[in-house]
Amino acid sequence: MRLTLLILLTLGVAAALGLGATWSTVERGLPVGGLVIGPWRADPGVGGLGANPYQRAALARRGEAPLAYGDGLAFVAATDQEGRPLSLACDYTLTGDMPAARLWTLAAFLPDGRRMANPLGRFAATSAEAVRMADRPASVILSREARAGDWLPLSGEGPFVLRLNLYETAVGTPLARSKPTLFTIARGACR
Amino acid sequence: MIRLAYALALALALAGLVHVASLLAVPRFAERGPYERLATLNADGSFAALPDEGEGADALPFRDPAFVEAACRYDVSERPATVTAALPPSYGAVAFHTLEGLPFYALTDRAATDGRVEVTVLNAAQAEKAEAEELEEDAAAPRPRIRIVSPTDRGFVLLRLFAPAPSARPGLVATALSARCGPAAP
Repeated sequence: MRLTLLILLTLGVAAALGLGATWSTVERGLPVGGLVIGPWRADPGVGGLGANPYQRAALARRGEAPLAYGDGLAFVAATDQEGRPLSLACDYTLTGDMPAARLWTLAAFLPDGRRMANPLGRFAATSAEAVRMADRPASVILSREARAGDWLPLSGEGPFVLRLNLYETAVGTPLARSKPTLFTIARGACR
Repeated sequence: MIRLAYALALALALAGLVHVASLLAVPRFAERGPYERLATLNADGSFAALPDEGEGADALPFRDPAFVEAACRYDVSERPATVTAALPPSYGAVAFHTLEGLPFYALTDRAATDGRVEVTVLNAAQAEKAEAEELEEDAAAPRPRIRIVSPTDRGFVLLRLFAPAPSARPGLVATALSARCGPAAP
């Protein structure tokens, strides 16, 4: 009787730990690995057939078609510079110098990858229309209310994530010379 | 007590096995991969534009909203497929993805001759045959032909054109839809 219980316990613990580890890594990714720059994370490995099983499983779960090596690299941020989760109730100012790339685009998504309601139809800020001041780095303002400058509208409630795509860049490939700098995400007022 | 320790050690080892096995099985059992998500678009054997409004705008999660995108699902189990697309100099790319969604080849507008690219997708058997034929043929092809071998018989092509401003979108959608994706001429 005790032996049966012990066997059942062993199998139960094994199943719970094994499936729990799978669920957690697929949902959140491995805690280490990838390219981390401040709050931004990128996974250059998904840009080719050499993706590891963790990356493959996470992609299958998200249903995303990733950018290929040599085409572009996607960075994701779910927190601000101080590690607080991004919230649609707050204003954010993004400033910084971008690494060498042919172009960059910045867009806000709901955590599952859907777009948020956007009556103006302005879903992305890009290097093509960024407002550049002399001697000052590029800057984008995220807010639910209209702002002067390069404004990317937010809408709704709850958490969101930011995607920064660099196109035709050496970042994330073996050709990258140094660790680049990206936008810093500073939180402003929250309502 | 010793028995319990044994049981725990065994449980840990088994948990590792369960983790590896279930992780490898995830892509196989995922029913909403990018290939499946494109099913509603009528993109089999021709390019269909991904809508920018409504439910369809979220067909592919985290799709870059600054781009106009068109998708085509191919099947090279019987015949090779040829993709011909115009890539405007403002930035355009064609990316080839496996059934699972991993990219295996991509071209940007810098690789385009006369602003166009032509790529033939084959499976391994067709590639061997094509190479054998090419040795017999005179090497006087009208334009450099690009042949790539698809790791899976089915897969999809994404044509992504950068829109520098919203006013450029309608023109880019027309460009994207003029791209061809279908069985290669025999």
